[in-house]
Amino acid sequence: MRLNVLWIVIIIATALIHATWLDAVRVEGVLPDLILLLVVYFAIAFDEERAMYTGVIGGLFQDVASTTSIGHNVLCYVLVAYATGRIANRLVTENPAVKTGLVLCAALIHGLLHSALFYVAQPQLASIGDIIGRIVPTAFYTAIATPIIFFMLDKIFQSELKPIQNRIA
Amino acid sequence: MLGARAIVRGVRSYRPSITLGVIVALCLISMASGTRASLLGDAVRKVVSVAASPFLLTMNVAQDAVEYTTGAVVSYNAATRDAADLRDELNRTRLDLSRAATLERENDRLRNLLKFVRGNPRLKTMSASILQRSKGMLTIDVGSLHGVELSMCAITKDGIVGIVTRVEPTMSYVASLHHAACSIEARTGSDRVLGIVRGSGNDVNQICQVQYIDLKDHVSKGDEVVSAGGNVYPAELPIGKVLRVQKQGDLLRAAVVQPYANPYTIEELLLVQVALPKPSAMASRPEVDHRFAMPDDRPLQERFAP
Repeated sequence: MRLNVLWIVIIIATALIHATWLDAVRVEGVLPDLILLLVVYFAIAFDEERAMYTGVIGGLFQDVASTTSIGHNVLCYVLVAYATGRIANRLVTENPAVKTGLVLCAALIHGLLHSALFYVAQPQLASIGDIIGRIVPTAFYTAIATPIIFFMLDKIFQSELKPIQNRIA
Repeated sequence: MLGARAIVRGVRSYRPSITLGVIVALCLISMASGTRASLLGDAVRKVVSVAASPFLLTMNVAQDAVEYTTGAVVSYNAATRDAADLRDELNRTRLDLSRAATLERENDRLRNLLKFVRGNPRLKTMSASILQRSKGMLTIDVGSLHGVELSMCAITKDGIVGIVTRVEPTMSYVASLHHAACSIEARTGSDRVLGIVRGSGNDVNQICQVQYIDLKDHVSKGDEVVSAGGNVYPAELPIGKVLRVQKQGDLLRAAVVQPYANPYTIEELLLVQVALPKPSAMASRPEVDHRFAMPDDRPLQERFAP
């Protein structure tokens, strides 16, 4: 119960921060994707199901905040969450470099999915070069922010993660 | 029973995949139907906007605070420049305000003069500004080139100011009621007693006297003194008010008069060029030329002696 409440609060707070305060760290129009970081974190630390629900809530927030149809961001995050959760089961995810690499891959896949869906939904507005030109920088920026965000999330979910780790051990 | 359990166990083992399928299906349906402005979307937007507003407000406050703090250092030179510019602008504005106030006062004075001129059609006047004043003698900015002549009567809307005693080409001198050289034939009291108004001749005692009043004539405090008229002054122009009556030798009395027009505060005056008598006076007199016979070469004392 405590885990779920904490999880919901973290997602909502992150979504709000993403929509409001994150502009302060904007570099050349590029922002780190905090929701994606949460999705990957929960996929690694818990399971793909929690990561998918994280993607649903976070994506819903982004859909509402942006001009896209409801489901656009949700679909991207959910697919990335599922894939990441599956892959994370087969990786040694304790290594920070692996986590960062996983986030980089997840961000690239998410960006591509997002662009593809956007292109399908609104081909008259989508400029592929412009969209793809933003995917790679965003992925790198998100990957750079990974150690800090994951460290903070580890601290927040420390007490919740111990039973899981003990059970695995 | 066993079949149901097997189904539940199968669903549990494939729960993530089933969840993914359900969510993807819902997303695709939502996107296909274009539920951008649906009821759900509006509701969620409202919730998000309400929930996000404290964050936005906090961020604005934080941004303002940071800009305010860093601005003192980062834009110190600009702030100093701005302050200097604002100081200059303030000084200019103060100057403009002062000018505007002066113009407004001047406008009021001129408006009053104009009103006075329009209210006295029997007087043909010429306006003049006072350049200098000293011991009751006023220097004005018009002279013989402008048509000024000796002994012209200087007036304001309040009453008589004095008489022109010297004329230069571009300026003239007016001996005011405070100047010793000024003598005006005047009437006062209920009996309309005739007398001569003379100035005290100093700046401290800014009053004048109606002299040569006979002991038997009735003059009292508060009586108005007006010009008697003649070839120099138009008649019935106000001069001042009697403050008190005192003895002047054994046979005569003098009335101390406070003039209405203060030569030390006025800035413009009118010089009377032509003064027609009142219609009532004209009806009882033969027609004469009422233009002043100027210049009069007689000395002042001789001209204005009773």
